[in-house]
Amino acid sequence: MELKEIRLKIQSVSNIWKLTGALETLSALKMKKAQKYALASRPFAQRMGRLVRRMEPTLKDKVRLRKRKLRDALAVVIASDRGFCGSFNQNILKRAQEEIEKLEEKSNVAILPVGKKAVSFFKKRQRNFDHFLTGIGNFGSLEEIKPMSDFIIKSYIENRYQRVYLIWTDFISTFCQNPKTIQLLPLEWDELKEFAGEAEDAAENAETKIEPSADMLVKEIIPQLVMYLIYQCVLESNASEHSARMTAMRNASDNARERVGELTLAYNKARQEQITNEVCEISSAKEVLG
Amino acid sequence: MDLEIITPKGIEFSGDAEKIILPTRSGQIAVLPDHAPLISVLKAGRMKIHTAGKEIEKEIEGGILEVEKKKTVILLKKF
Repeated sequence: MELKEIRLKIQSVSNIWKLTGALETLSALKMKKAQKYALASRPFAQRMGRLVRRMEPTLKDKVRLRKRKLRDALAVVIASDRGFCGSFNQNILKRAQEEIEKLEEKSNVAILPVGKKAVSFFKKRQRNFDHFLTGIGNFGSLEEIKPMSDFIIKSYIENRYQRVYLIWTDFISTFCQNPKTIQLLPLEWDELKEFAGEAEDAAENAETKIEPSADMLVKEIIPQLVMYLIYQCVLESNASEHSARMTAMRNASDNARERVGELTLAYNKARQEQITNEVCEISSAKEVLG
Repeated sequence: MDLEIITPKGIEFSGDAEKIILPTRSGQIAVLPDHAPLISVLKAGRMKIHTAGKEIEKEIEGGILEVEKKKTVILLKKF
């Protein structure tokens, strides 16, 4: 390789290195924040989820808990707005695709993508969707989630969908994230068990009194419960996204650094070769003249 | 009784309480140890917690009260 060529290459690789290094620092900060939010609200969401178990005997015949004949299902797929986060989006979207294909054997499936990457993924596959949500990649607030959760609850009550599924990424640690599916509606303890964690013995609290009335509870608590469940899934996905991005950027930086080293070695070799050639030429010229 | 106050921002209180006074939709109630299991909707108002040494008084915006045999949990939007 020509000296000049190698020099240019070194320059472009170190530019990439700088860029990924900066992104790494940035996403490390965001990751910390996102993780903090997700972990802080976890007990609340889990506790909310566990309410389903206590209410199940009382509320069996209420509309939100009742099973209806399955005709249409809604799959909410939570991905990210931005790329550059390794295989985060591929993982969740691949999982979503598989889940949707499985669901389609039983019913029609509508999609509600969350995040630009999910939107473009389903557009490319000629999937139709009426609603989508973007711009919640940075620790989405409850107010941003509310319209979506209201829409989900409303269309569920109106019997537009008989099942609602959430497909999201569970944040386990910085290096480990897991795509997951839960059935959001109808609320069923068996479906939420994994999300909400161990619940206390049901028999012990069998005679739970509900005040002021079961109807009131359904009206007041269930919409909130659904909203907080969605919120938690969004927060977990956010934390996963930023963690995946940080890891991806760190790998990219490491690779770039390695590559710069290799290229510098090649550059020095080429330079030495050139000098040797020049010395050779000079001495041979001198011999001829001498 | 064992009391936990949880918000979306984290666990705000965890410890022993002697008495809790709460505004619910069906009126103000006091929860004492060994209360029967209960789920109730809280409305905006003043919440009072009596612990062994002190009293905590707080304005709340609403939430959910859950009394279990072993534990009482208050889920609040804000604390």
